[in-house]
Amino acid sequence: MTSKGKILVTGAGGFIGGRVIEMLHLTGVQSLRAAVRQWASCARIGRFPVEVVKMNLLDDAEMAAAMDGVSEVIHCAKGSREGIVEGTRRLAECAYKKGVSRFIYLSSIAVYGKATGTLEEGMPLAHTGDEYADAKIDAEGICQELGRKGLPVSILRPTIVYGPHSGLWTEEVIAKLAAGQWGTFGEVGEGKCNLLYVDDLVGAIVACLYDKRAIGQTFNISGPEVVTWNEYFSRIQKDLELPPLREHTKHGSNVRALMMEPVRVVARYVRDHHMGTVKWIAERSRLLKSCIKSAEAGIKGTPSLGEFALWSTDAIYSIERAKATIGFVPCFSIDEGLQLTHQWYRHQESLGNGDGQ
Amino acid sequence: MTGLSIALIGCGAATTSYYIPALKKLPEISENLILVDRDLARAKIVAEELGSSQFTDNYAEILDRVQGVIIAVPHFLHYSISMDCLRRRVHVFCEKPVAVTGGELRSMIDEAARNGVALCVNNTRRLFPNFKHIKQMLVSGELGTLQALRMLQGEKFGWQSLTGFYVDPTISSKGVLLDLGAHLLDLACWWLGEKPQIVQFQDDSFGGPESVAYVRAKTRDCRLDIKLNRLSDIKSYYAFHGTKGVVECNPDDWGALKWTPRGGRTTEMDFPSQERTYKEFVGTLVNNFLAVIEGKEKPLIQGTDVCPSIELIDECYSKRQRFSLPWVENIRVALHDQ
Repeated sequence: MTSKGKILVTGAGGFIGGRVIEMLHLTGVQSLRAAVRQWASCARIGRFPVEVVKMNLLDDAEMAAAMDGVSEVIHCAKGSREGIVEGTRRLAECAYKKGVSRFIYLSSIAVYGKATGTLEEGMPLAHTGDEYADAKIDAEGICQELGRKGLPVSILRPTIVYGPHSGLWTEEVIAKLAAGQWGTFGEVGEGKCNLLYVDDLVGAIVACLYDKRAIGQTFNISGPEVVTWNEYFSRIQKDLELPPLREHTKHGSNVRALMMEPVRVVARYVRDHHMGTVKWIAERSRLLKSCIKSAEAGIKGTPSLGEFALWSTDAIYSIERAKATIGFVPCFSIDEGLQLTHQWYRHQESLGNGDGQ
Repeated sequence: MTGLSIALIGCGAATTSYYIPALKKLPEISENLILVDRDLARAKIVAEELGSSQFTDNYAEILDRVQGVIIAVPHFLHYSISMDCLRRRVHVFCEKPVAVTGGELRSMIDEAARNGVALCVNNTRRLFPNFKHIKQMLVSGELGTLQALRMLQGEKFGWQSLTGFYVDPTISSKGVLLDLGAHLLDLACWWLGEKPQIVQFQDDSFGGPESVAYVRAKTRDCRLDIKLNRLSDIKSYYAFHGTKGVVECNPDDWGALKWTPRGGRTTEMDFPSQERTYKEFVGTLVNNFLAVIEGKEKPLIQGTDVCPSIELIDECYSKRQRFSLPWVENIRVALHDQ
């Protein structure tokens, strides 16, 4: 692969940006620049001899330095609403002024809100009040606007991206299943789980980077199979040889989620307003520290109403446009993706080298 | 301690986390405390926070005005700055790892001895009460002959360093072993009372600093397995298998351990201490350092104590091999240029 200048990857300290860096480096791409918001997130990509720069998307000086000599941008960074919307605006405007040859924006299927059925890229989007989804819609709008002015932009809407280092859809799920907190959830878990192994997403990103037909396009990117959420949880349990999953009923699950909602509200308030005090006390009282940990585990271990809404959504995200336009074909079956994920998980967790030696 | 003149070199994350809280408890030295950082504005901020009016961006110019320095800079600078201080007969208290190689540390120890000053080290965890109790059990023979020591420790890296020296591949290819490993390998050598022999060292470096590392080592009687991980929050534990029983503890909880004598029942033991937070243990070491300068105490932990572990880290890196990492290395997706 050849680039005139550097390929800048934002969010390189994160799950997807990190894998983009790894795969590009390992396939011989030399002209890489990894942008991280803070050095603390650099432990994974730091293992590779690539250029790393610190860049807060809201810091003009850091952005100017990071964009120097860049010919392509892969924008994987996320964050607060301001980071997503204003950060994307600044980055895309900077890329436009510099005349980059490609700007790839990683959006999300969250932009579809609660829509069901087979969802295609052309359907109209509407704000739903969900902060993340609304921010992604706005950021897409900014990219499209600059695209009309001439920025060679492509927007990707990945589905449920899993794999090694995925905090949300891998580590947390495994931890909750392993702790016996989650199981299967009857009807509530029978919605569609559109899984996408992270390497397939990187394949789509790179295809957009070099295929001119991707310019000005928005693509759903998903894996080759769709299962239910109950099935996803069951497969993880089986592959990792975890204890058998509990079968939660729809009614029981809903009652627990409803009962936990006020606790979540209080916990969020304490986190946002009194975290310093709580930490101070916890440092000085083992009992309180233990109580806080238990409460935290209880909150995290009980599925929220939002999670139930996701797990019961009957939606499939069509990838026909990506197939037809850039020849996107996902390689990883769920079995293959989970097998690699579990190898990684065992390696992380176990004492030894992970080779079974 | 009123008469002591001290410099704190490096005003980054370690100073914010540990040395500002420790020095705030010693207002009597603030008048003669000099803050040093290559970023002069940062040095001024920390000086003001500690009630000092003295700050500079050049440590060399203040060494004739101080009796001791606390060094809290990126670890690849420990050697050169420490040597400059020791040569000027200034006592040194250095963050861990005190040196990047065994050769550096031996030079530092020699220089300190030659000039009659102390080289103290912040290997904080040696002060943890449960770890000290384990040492006692090993020395007294209560645990019997130690046959296996297993240490698994990890959490996602979150150190809010102002620079990227811990993780930046352009600065070093040494990572978690030199960072967290400087604690764990030191503890292992301390507990064993000797430096074990490396059998195998594997890590996940592709040229930059590693983030997962596995050390297998042995002594005549004991097998060691140590795994460090700064990519994931994992369930950390230490386990000591002796001929007379097993001790287990959570490395993040310095106040407790479990003891199971051979054929007996498990007992949970608590160890109250006057230090309630990690930074208070650092405070204890800082107080000790000041007392050492005044000739009132002996160093709690000094350079010679940690020499075996720094040498062991050296040996590990000289034998480094990469793990098999199929989820990283196997690229099945065609990344093609159109």
